[in-house]
Amino acid sequence: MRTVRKVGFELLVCVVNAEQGSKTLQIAKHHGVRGGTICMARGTMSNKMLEFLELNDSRKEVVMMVAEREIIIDAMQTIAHEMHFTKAHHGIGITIPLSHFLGTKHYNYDDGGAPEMGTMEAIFTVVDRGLAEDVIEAAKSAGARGGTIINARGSGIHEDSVIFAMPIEPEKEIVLIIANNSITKAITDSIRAALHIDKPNHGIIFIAPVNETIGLR
Amino acid sequence: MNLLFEKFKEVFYSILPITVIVTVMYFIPGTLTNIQLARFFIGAACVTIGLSIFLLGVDIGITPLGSHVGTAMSKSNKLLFVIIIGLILGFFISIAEPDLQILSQQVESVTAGAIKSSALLMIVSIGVAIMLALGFIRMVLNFPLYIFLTVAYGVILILAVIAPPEFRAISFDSSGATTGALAVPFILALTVGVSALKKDSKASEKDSFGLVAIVSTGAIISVLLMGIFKNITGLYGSADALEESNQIIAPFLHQFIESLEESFIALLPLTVIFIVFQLIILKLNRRAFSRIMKGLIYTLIGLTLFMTGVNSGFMGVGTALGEWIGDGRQIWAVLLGLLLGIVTVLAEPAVHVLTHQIENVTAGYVKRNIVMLTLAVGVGFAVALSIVRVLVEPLQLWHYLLPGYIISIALSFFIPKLFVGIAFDSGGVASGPMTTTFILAFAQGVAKSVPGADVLRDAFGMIALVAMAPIITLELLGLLYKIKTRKHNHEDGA
Repeated sequence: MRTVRKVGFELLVCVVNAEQGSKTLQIAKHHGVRGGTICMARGTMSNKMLEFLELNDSRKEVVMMVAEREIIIDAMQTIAHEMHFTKAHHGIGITIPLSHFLGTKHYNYDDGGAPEMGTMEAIFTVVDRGLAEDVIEAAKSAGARGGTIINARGSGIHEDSVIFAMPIEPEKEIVLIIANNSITKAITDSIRAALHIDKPNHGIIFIAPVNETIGLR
Repeated sequence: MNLLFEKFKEVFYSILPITVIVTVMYFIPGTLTNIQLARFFIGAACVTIGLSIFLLGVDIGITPLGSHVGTAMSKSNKLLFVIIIGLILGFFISIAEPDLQILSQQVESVTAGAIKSSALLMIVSIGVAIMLALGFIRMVLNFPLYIFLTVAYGVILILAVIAPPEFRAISFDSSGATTGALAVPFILALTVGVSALKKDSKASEKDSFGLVAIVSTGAIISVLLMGIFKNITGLYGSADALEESNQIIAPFLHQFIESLEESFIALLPLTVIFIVFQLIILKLNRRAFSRIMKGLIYTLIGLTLFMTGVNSGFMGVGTALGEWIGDGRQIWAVLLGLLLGIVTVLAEPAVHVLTHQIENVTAGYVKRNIVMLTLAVGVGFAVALSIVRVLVEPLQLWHYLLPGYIISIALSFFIPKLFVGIAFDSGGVASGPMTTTFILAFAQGVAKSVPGADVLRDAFGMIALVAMAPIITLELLGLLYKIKTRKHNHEDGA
């Protein structure tokens, strides 16, 4: 089990057209990304005529992947190239630096060099469908105020079942919890203990620093 | 890529296979006339455009409407309110269903008026209303779907034994007819609306399906009961001969008016329900309200065009192909039936709605294309088996239905419970307007050409098979998903 410097991880978020999410994830997996999570979403276009006809919606998929910075940049370049991101309406990709990434045996929590206390952090926990309530319970017991559950599907490196030549990605839930970084460690420890995140395929947690928040008490 | 273009692309690829097959058949001498082919192409164009607009309308009109109503119901937290709304919704959706109206008229004519079409319509609608209300109660009380269905089909089995044989086919057909193009999306959305409020996400996912199946059993049970009490034996008369016109455009214009009227009547209850709910409970803002209204208008336009295309373009081709192949090419008739069954169901409106719903609810875990393919194979076998029944005289409908339903009920105990709902819903979904016109016309065509085959007897019961076979194939898919998922869990432990 090795410990990696916290600056090393990035979250790559790609917004692609409907039914392209699995393909995006496959490309990323071929370029060293170990897994990813896909959510279904809707995008809109601004066009008065289409708005009147209620045609301004289109179905999208959001793909989220976490890996070391170099791998993520490489994967993003390849995805952008193969999915023609440079053309209009083909998709977008952004990366967000992470402060921590837990839940795979290759990486572990790194206490060193924590940012100054008193700032907020966004804790993303990805678990199998049906376990999100447990995550929120565990987080609450460690001081979190609540959480947001997002339906998703996703697959790690171990999960590559195929039916009729199409990959099946098991159902997941993403739990988003915003908390002060003085209690992030307690919250993640509680979630890790309750859901055995440290065992392979029991979910992952990644944490991103947050600059400003509003509406939190 | 806007929503309409997206739908158009999806529909285009679904209509393409059947268009290719019919075009290939045209080049075999003696199958189709030039006029029939021309009409088929116009019909295919109408179906493609109509279905695209219809699905768009379902997305922005029917589905939001259904889930708003469903959510409002479960938020009320009063069981009595849920039951009353269930009864009202079920009754009016069913009575306005065009497929059911056609079926009940057919039944009136073949029983020489002993069963009035209005009486049948009423009985089926009451059955549907009661079962819809029971379905809601099941969801509220968390009663397992597979046990509910086991009981329902147990009752059906007992009633079917007592009821006159002719009623068995009619009852199963009426179940296919009630779950038409409009009822299915609305019921599916209602289910999602009700189940979305459950805190346990796994339970809410399982409960997102199964209501269509429960509603279907309502129709079967009510018709069987009617048969027992009316005690009618024997069917007379003959199925309506299809009028064959030599014109190309005229039938479309005539049909368009008829379809517009039917679609309008079918949409009326939903619109009224929406406005009443809006005024009393929902109180959506103006934007959301006008969006759903526009969606209903899209649905009307789309459904009208679709029905026009199917009735004027596809039906004649179905009959012609059936007559040609039934005339001395009987082995080929079974194969062609298999092929047509597979490609026709792809053009079935409710199938698109259901498969999207599955993908949405499972966030893409159960993929649309896989479900589509499995469904298509099931319907293919159903059509092939129906043709076998036309050709082999001693074979009775219940020879298929009894073992078929025993297998599907038995499988439902072993597969992931999400798939129980999906599988039984697919049964109702597969037997939509496309199957009931095109495939039925094909089977009747075969029956006409085969000496000794009874057009009437074989015509009834075909929809019943189409509604049954996909249940089994989708349950097998569920089994496959279970096996695949279990294997990966095992690897985890290692």
